[in-house]
Amino acid sequence: MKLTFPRFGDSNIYGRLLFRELGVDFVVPAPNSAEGLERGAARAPEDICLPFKLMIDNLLSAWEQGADTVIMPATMGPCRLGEYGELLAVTMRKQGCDFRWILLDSISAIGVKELVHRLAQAVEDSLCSKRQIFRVLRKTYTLIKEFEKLEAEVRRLSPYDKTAGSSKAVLRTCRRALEQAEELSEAINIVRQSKKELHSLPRDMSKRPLRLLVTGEIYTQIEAFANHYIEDTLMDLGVSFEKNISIGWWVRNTVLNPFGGMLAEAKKNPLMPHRIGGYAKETINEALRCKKEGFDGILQLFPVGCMPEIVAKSVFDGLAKDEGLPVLSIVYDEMGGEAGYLTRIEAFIDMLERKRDMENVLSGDRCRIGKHGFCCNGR
Amino acid sequence: MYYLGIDVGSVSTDFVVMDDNLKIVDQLYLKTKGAPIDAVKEGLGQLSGRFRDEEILGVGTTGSGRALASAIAGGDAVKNEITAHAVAAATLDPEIRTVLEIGGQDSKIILLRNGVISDFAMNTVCAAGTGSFLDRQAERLGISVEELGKMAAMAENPVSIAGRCAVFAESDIIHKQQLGCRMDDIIAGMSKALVRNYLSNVAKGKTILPKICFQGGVAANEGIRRAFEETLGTPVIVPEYHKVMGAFGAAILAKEKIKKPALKSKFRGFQTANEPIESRSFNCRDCDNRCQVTVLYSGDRQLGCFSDRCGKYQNNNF
Repeated sequence: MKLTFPRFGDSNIYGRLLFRELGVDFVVPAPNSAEGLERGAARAPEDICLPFKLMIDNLLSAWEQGADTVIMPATMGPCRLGEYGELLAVTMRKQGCDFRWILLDSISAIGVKELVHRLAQAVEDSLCSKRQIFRVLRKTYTLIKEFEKLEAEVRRLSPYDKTAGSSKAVLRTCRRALEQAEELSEAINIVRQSKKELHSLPRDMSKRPLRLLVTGEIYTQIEAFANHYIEDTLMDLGVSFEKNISIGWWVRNTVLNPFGGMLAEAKKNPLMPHRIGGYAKETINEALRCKKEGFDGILQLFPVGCMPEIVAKSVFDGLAKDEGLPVLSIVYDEMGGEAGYLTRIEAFIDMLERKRDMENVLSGDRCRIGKHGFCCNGR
Repeated sequence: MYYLGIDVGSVSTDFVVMDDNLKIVDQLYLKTKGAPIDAVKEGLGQLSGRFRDEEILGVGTTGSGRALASAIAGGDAVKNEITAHAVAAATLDPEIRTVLEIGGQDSKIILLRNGVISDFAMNTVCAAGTGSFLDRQAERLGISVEELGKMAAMAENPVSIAGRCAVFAESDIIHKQQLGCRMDDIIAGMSKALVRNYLSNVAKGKTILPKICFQGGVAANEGIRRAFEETLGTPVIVPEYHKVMGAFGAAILAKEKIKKPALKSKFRGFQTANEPIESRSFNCRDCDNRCQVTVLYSGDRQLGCFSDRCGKYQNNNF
């Protein structure tokens, strides 16, 4: 058996170290690229969303490298995402790639027994004892958690850098080192080292950057290629932001602590009382939280045709009007041009800065305001 | 003393020279023709006879080619076109509360309250209802874009055209032509479809309050302006310099940027027009990102570098 998995975010780092340590034979698909997207789009069903097209290319690339089994997360539900794994299996078979599939569904959909059974298939070739397997899994999760914490801190702290871009550089170096790491313990140490490095950077905490919340469809948020590296863009524009949906969040919510997920689901949400599939409810919950926690605005990311997020977007339109909560929805597909995205994001940030500075003036803050409301202290 | 504003758009590249009192003293409207570098050089060349380098105190660039224009001309303020258009409209008339802007590739609506942006939207997926569509239809009908507006204004019975999608709109237009409909009626119908699409798509959910200012290249089209007035039921102002409002806004932003801490402009001078400027692209293979990097050279000197995510090519040290 030769295992593979689609690429999203840093799945290549985690997957590589995990299967290496388990002693399972595996291949990592080539990274997402424009050429890959073309190849995936040519084989995808019409009107399917961006993540699907990218994953087709990932799996083609893995098949070419000799993979025969795919392990990937899936989410059952009324949205077409619920059939995602099955649709992908059919599409790949048509391309002559007859994979064996290990689909990791939520416990609420398939039950604990079935999930364990499926997970066991992935490690059937491993020589490790049960105990060792659990230890490796736990270490992998620790790595995910630690690295995501580092990412979160970089997102929050980068605008305070005395030398612009230094926090971003720490994250980049850390990621490069993780790609080269030999084993999980080494990787965890690299992350901890990077965190120390990040904390020792000179900062100017008197700056007052905007605080944004990035939310939306899960794949688009996690995979930088799918969102045109929006995190880099935001860091370059000097805003502080938070992004809570991640691989670690998925693992926590679906596998480790499904009870927490169920509890969150049972909580009242006046704007969306039912689950409609995908992560629409989560997106809206995030937005409501954002209002309470004093963020300046929300960026909602999703691929063209993503039903749950389209529904969430129309809820946002109402939120924007009633609560004065600014939301910018950014829709991604095959289009590679950056100018349009950058214009929208830049204009959104300009608008929020002006808005905040005006409020400061009204409340007697000594912020210098240009004639058109732009803060002259900033950019 | 003057400020220069450059707006490099998909269809046109506009220049505005503005004096200290925010008055436009000169303007240029050039076709980009897919060659923004040449368009910027051409504009600087044309202006070089009328102004001296020392007279330019600051340069602002905007539009989708703003980074490129800034690298060539030496920009002090590099701002997106939404901010630039809003600033220009608010400077022109502080009472303007809605800006409708239709350019070559995109259309936007900007809501102003007390002279500052309170909300905006841009067309998302489809380019139906933008200048390029009109350009193409005018070309297909064998008339100039300017005539298009006049003919629409003369129509008596506009035919209905599907406006949702540029491709379907075109087949609808061809179909109506084959039925023998009058050309001016078809053009008027097309204008109405464009406005309908704009209002239901770009301006969806936005509160449009007067005064309404209509700017961008398409504002020259009398038929579209009339269709807007009819649909919205209020007068729509088209400012004198509607075609170059983006460049005007960029010039104002440059002035604000330069004036506050009294900076020296990065303007590279009008002789830039005579420099041999060329761009070279290559695929960087150093990491997974596989960036397609574009470097702009004047002779051997690097003017600017774009699309390298890690920024390692920015300082000419590779």
